[in-house]
Amino acid sequence: MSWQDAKERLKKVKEERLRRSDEVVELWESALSDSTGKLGDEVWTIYEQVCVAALDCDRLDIAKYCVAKLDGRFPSSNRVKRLGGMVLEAEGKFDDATMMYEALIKADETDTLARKRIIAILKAEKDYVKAIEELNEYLKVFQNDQEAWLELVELYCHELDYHKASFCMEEALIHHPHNHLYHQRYAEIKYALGGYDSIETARVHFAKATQLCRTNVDALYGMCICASYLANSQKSTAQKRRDNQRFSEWAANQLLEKHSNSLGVEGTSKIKNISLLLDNLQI
Amino acid sequence: MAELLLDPNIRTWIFIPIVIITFFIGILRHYVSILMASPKPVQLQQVKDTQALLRSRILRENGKYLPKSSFLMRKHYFNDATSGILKIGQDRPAAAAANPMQDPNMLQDMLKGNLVNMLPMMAVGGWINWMFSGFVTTKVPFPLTWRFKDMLQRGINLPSLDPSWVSSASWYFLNVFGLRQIYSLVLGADNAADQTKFMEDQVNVSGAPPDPRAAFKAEWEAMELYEHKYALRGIEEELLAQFPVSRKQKKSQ
Repeated sequence: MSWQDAKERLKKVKEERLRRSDEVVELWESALSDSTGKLGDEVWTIYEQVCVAALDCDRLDIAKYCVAKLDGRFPSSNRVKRLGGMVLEAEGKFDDATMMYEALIKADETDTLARKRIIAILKAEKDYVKAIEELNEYLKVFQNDQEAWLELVELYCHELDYHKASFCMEEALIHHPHNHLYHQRYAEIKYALGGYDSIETARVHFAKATQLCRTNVDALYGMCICASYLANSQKSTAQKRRDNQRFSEWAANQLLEKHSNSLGVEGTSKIKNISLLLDNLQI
Repeated sequence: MAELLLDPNIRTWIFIPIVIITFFIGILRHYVSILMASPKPVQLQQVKDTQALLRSRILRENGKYLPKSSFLMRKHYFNDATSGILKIGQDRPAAAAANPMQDPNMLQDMLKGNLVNMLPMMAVGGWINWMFSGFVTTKVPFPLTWRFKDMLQRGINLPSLDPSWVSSASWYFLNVFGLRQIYSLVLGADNAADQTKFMEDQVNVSGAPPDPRAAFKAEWEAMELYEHKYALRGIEEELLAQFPVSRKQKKSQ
């Protein structure tokens, strides 16, 4: 592959935010590292991209080389300092890295990336409580950072605090109300939370996810389970029981239809099993 | 009136040099202002305000996808009479930043701006005027009314000259304002070579910074008026009607 092609490919990876770190490192080694002179000013962004990718692949030699090059060109740049901090992180020197990021935040209070790195370090150290605390502080200022909200969902789920996790998931949901995976995730958290009302909300959002994406089988199963729970719950009124019965049957039928479509004729025995399974779920 | 014939030397030594000089001065200014620019520090409070306003707007837009209790929880956070952040934002005393003279940084920025923009413009304008004054350089290819004489024939005082003719000083000014597209072609869209942009900036600096309190008040009102209507009510019925189960798949009950 020529260096022009490699450059284009790197650009594409960057624009589409793909995490193809191994590919990036390979492109760098095979095509780009020998022709840095030809890249002009673009070489600096490429150094940055390759550096992060190299850290992802645990290729500290390449990462350090890139940081050294960048540091030579931009001696007082915060962006380069952050990369240096990430190299420290990769080496396991979390305290040094934290100090570096704290200095960056002191220099520029609005440096979101340095703040996120500190939280990432806490997460890497498995200090989830502290990470949650920091992330909450972060979100008090940067309220619209969905990545951060989703990360907080992860952390709360890890701590089994589904109540707070569901709040954070709602936040992601209102930013992207048409993402079926968010609806599904929210419904799963609500289902895990348990309780009649939560499961009813879960059913609604599973249904929305199904509506948004017809191939989302997980959401169909979720809808089936939630509806059959509600149909058998003591708290349901007669009308609600009937409705939920209908919903769960519909979901089960949809599931059967999808499975038999994808399995074809040979899968008849499997379909039977699935049908049995669904019957079990509805009890 | 007899047609005017210009000496070709005017083209070579005045018309083209003025274009080249203005162009390169623009390029030079672009790089000098890059050298001297100091990035404006963004205030944390400012970020916080804009983020809060944005989130409140998104909540109004998409809050209908949340269960009522979740929505009310958020509305309370924004609009509660005592602790809602939109309410607090409204009552906050006005920021003290109104006077640029008290902020040495701002003063320095203005000085730099003047240094990079006003001084060269005046110096070069004066120099061009002195160096190339009194020439008729070119003619615009369409007739113009006499009102244009002031604009196009600066430095020439010939009452009977047709207004389509352009004097050297006016040619310089035409270039200063007309090269904007060329700069954006050469330097990219967001360049500092352009004079007119600088003048807009000056106007902005003199005006007061946007008042966050007004924005908070507007957002608070909009949030008060917003009525939560759950968008997912009856979603299952909708779904069932949308995708009825085909007859042959119907499971035996």
